[in-house]
Amino acid sequence: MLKDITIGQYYPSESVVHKLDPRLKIILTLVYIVAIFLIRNFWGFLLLAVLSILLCKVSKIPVGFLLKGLKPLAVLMVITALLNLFMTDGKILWQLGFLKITQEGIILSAFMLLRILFLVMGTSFLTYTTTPITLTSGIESLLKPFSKIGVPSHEIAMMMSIALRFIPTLIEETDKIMAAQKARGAALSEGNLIQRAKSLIPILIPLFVSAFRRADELAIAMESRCYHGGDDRTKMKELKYGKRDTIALFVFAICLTGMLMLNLLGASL
Amino acid sequence: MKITVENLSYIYAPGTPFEKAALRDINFTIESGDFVGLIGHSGSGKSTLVQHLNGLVKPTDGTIRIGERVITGKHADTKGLCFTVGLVFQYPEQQLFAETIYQDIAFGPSNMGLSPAEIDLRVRTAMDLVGLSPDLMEKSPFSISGGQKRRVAIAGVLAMEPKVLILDEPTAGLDPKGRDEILNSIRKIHKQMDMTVILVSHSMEDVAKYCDKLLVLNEGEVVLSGTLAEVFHHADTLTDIGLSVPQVTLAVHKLREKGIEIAENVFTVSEAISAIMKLRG
Repeated sequence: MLKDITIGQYYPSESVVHKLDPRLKIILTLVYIVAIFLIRNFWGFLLLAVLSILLCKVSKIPVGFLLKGLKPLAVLMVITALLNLFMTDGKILWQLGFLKITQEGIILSAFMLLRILFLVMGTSFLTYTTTPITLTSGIESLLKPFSKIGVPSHEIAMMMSIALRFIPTLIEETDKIMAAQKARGAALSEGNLIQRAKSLIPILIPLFVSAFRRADELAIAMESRCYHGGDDRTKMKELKYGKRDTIALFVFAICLTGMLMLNLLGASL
Repeated sequence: MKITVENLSYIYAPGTPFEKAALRDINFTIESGDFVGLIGHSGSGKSTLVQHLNGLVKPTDGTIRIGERVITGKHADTKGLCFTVGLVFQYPEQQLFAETIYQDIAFGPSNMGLSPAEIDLRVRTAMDLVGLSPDLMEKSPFSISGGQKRRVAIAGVLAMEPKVLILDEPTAGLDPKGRDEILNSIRKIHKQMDMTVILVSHSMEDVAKYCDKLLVLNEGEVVLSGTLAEVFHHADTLTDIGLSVPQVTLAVHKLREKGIEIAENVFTVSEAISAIMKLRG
């Protein structure tokens, strides 16, 4: 069950997308996030869907793997869709008490659903195709100019890389503890809400204990290797911006323009 | 309780780049009351195999029978299976959670829905079996030493009074004294409670000293199985897969190669001593 959480995971594969400069990928992802909110009609989303599938092929990530990453967000997506469906004013199609479905509501909720869907899927590409180390290296490099005004760019990057590094470890650990407690007959998915919450105690406590232990061990390991923050640190693998990245940038720009052009076909919102 | 495993296969994470055949066509039978050692390298599938035996992991293919129950397939009968087949995980002290040692050991029995009096009796018996003093009962499980924590965790499984006890590397990370104490307790429990015991280990010395039968796993396949003598007879096969026979057995083999007429099946130091004494007459 926990194995299904793929957000923030790296998907190992040899592809052009994997080899791109992480700084470029981060910036493009940010632009992409903004661009999603600029889409005014369903044609834009259609193009986006086609492009997403193409990107899957290019980066050699199975489409199924990408869709599986959406599963944990299903609840959030359903709630968003329902809220928009029932709470939007407009031309009423159906009404029961204070609940009403409007034409605008249907369109808006479909829009919101697609937005979240593509937001998560698109941004997932960043983590799927970039190892946590390269990713934070990119973030550090991008934040560097801000260190003049006191932004601790190296520390932020280090914290992020540690957090990302420990997501799979903690998931694995949770799985292990759950299995161990199940072996002692723990009923994890039975009973009412209070019973379920109570049944989490035998999992959460060992998990916290181990997280603190790991943090402690990591701190000692870093100190014993004389880690003292970002000053004067050099990198074994310098980030290089190459021809490949320029090509990727152009392809992205063309797609983005195409997407914005589709807005001219008329806004459905 | 008799355990029968037929054509068991398990594929990990099918359909992802992490896909791996963890177990391949495993067949074996463990008789009721056996003390079996399951040995193999890390990554050979030992832990995955034992998690099949109490129903935590469902096999991709194959049949497992625990006593009369078939625990695989469409009509799998796994209700309460974890109370029949007690599984002590690797580093079991990492799953302790309760405020007191007593409460932690009582977790299993209370999940079985036993009466408070019965739970109390079982907790006390289990603590006694693993050699924990009753004074510790009200202490926090986080305030005791690593070796004691492990005993608490083992007691937590024993208190369910399983018919089959599986221990996944119960001595990992313990000092020699702690290791001997734990293994001696397990031997005592095996005799007293008439349990079927499966001991997962990669220490040849440990399994030679405590087990009657062995099951050797390599890359998800059973390569050798049988009594100690039968398995240690294949010293070459064991060496090929990166395991070995116990060092005394190796020494005795060398002596025999030199023409010294020492008894062949020697697996522990004390057996070696008596074999040598016999030679001297």
